[in-house]
Amino acid sequence: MIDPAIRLCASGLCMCSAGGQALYIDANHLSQTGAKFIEPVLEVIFR
Amino acid sequence: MHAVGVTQASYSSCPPLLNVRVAHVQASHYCPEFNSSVLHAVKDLGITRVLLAGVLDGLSAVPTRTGLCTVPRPVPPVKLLSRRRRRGRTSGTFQRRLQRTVHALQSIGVEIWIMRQAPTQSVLVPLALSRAALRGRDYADMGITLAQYRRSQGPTDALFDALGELRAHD
Repeated sequence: MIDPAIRLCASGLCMCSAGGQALYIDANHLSQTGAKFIEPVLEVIFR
Repeated sequence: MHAVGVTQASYSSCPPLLNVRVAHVQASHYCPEFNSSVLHAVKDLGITRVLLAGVLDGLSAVPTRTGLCTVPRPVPPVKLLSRRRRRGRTSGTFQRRLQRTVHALQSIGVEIWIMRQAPTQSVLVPLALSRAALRGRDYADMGITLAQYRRSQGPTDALFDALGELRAHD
């Protein structure tokens, strides 16, 4: 089970943006920036 | 570092579950056929790992505007059922289709990963960020709380837990 909240909600707040960039393209689809942002939680699949 | 091949198969408003149609979303009209063809492609291409990802909370016990899960005809449309019955049918259908999908992939020797859906924000993010920026407001702390997200995922997580074979990766 992969949990994107580990990255997106690391501070207890599920962020809409990071570094001034939107992490979503609407309310629930990640933007390209958002997809890159959760890259670390996906690495386990490629080990 | 090593090279890996990645293939993506996605269809708007179509959850990655076999034999599921999302009610009142015409865009996903061919969802059952699409997912069936993806399963065949996984087998034919010799794909060894599959990541199932999608917006799934509308398919669990919480009714939402965006997705009630139905099985293809001749089962009566979800809209004809009472709200209580609809919740039960939706949740039960999701669970059965999730199990069927997992078992179908396991039967062809695929390693399965499931990704919880990303938190659904309470606003259209680009619009809200733009408005905040135009008004000179700090938007860095905009977003739902982790507790809100966990609550929203409770029913879906319970169905995942019912699979009994999942391990969380931090």
